[in-house]
Amino acid sequence: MQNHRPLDTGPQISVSCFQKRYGLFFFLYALVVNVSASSIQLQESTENCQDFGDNFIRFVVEGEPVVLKAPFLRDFFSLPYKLSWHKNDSEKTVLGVGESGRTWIKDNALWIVPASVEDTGTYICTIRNESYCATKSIELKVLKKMTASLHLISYRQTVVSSSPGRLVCPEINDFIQKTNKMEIKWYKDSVLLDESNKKFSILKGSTDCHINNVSLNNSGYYTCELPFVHGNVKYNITRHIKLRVLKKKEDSFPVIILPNKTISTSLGSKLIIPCKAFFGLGPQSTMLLWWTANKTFVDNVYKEGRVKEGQHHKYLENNKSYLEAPLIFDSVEKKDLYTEFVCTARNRLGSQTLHARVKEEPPFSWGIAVAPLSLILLVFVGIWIHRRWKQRSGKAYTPGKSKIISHECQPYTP
Amino acid sequence: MNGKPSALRNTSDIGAGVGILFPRNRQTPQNIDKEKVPIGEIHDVQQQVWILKGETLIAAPHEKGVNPVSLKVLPCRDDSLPKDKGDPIYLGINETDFCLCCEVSGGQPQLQLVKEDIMKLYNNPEAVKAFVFYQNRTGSTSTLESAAYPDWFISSSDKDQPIILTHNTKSQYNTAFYLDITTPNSER
Repeated sequence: MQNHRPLDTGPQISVSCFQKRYGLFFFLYALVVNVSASSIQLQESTENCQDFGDNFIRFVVEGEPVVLKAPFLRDFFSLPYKLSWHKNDSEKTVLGVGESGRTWIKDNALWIVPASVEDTGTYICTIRNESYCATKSIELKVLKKMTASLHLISYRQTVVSSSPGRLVCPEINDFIQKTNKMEIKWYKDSVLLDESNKKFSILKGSTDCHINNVSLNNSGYYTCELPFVHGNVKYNITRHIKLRVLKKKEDSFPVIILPNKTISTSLGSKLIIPCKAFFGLGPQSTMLLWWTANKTFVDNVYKEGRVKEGQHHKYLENNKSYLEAPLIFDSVEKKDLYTEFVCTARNRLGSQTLHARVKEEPPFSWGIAVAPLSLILLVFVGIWIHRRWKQRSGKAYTPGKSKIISHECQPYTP
Repeated sequence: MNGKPSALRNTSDIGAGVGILFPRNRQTPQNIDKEKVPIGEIHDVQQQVWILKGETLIAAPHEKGVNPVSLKVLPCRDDSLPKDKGDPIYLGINETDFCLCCEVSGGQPQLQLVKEDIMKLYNNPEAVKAFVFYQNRTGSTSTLESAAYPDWFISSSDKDQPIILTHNTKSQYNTAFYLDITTPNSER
């Protein structure tokens, strides 16, 4: 953008050479410039000008005053320059010359008061001095009042729910005639927002409309209207706004739920340590989780990838936001037992860390594995012996009691 | 974008290892979350969005046809940064290689767009201070202060004027922005 491309052809360069070398020819040069300047009054030539391309299409409604600007162009000129506007039609007529008519130039901007459907087209702003020339085009589409689609002519604005909101009547500064007494009328879906409406406050002399406490149903189309008087004719400067309400995010301090602080494993085996954190109710804006080993990001420590941070997994469960990220060991090595692995969960409110230590499991031994089995076997054998003993002793010594037992058991043994 | 080793595609495989099992009851996401950089939509209190003109950010009302920039937002995870300034973040222009950077030029700090991989900044253990901004929230707006140049804030002014760093927060420059950050592909 900063490259000023001087013209390599054209009268300016050759004339400036004359000027440098032969002062005598300056008169001739002035004559040439004067002649071309007077022709500019009628027709604009943009040959040999650096073109800064089309701007986007500007949609306006017929009957309203319009101001077209090409603000970037003048940034290229530190020396005095000449600015002109013309419509890119077959005549290439220069616009805004003199104060009469519907068009004029004020502060380098082209005014069309009021715009009509025939004004639709491409407008080109040309800035030139002796050594450089630049153009910028603006597409203007003037829509009929009855058929103008709100979607095309609306500005997008955004507010956040459950907090104060501010709508701004956009691009009207050029039309403000009495700042202090300026009164902008605001409408929501064609209904005038006046003082009786407690939800909105509109101050005199301000281009804003304040929403006291934004709720989701405040979204929709708004219109602001500023009166503008020119030549005893009163115009309305109308702007349409499509307001979007963002739901306020309810995040809470992150809480790490997993991992356990100590993880037992055996050397040489694969190990996965998940880290899971809760970040609040509903979808969240910032949810971050990462692993470090001895205070350095895991990926920076284990470049060969033996230990790595796995896929991040984000989900909502019962409207609660969670994020998980596993730490994956391809094969646990002895040095891992002395490394401090830390999982950090962070959002905009703060962060929480959890230290995880890898511990070696005691090696497998047959004695330890068999011992509980032997014990269980012993208990079963004991119970069996006890029953046998009871049955035998019952038959031999207490026949009366046996009768009672059999009597008690009667309902169960029909 | 980052040099992350490709993560295991099937969680049931990794669950076979010794140790704590990774939960198997949810579907595995298709992408590593780190490649899904959180995206921020930004506008100032005058309801102006940022647009990219060459290598300059400028403020403009969001009318039809205006293509506002969205920001890639990633935290700076350097613990040594001051905690009272706000959330330290890196800012990149979405769909470009540009990151927002503060450099002294013409005797004072200037906001510049510099070609840099935001993931590289994010993965750097130490803060790359020229690219770090403290996001300090008040209500629903945030200020963005340069970490390299304290008390210099990202600011906007009128339509078509560039987004710059300002030292004087009470001037005509506006330093309060609405920055709405969403992480793509949040599962439900």
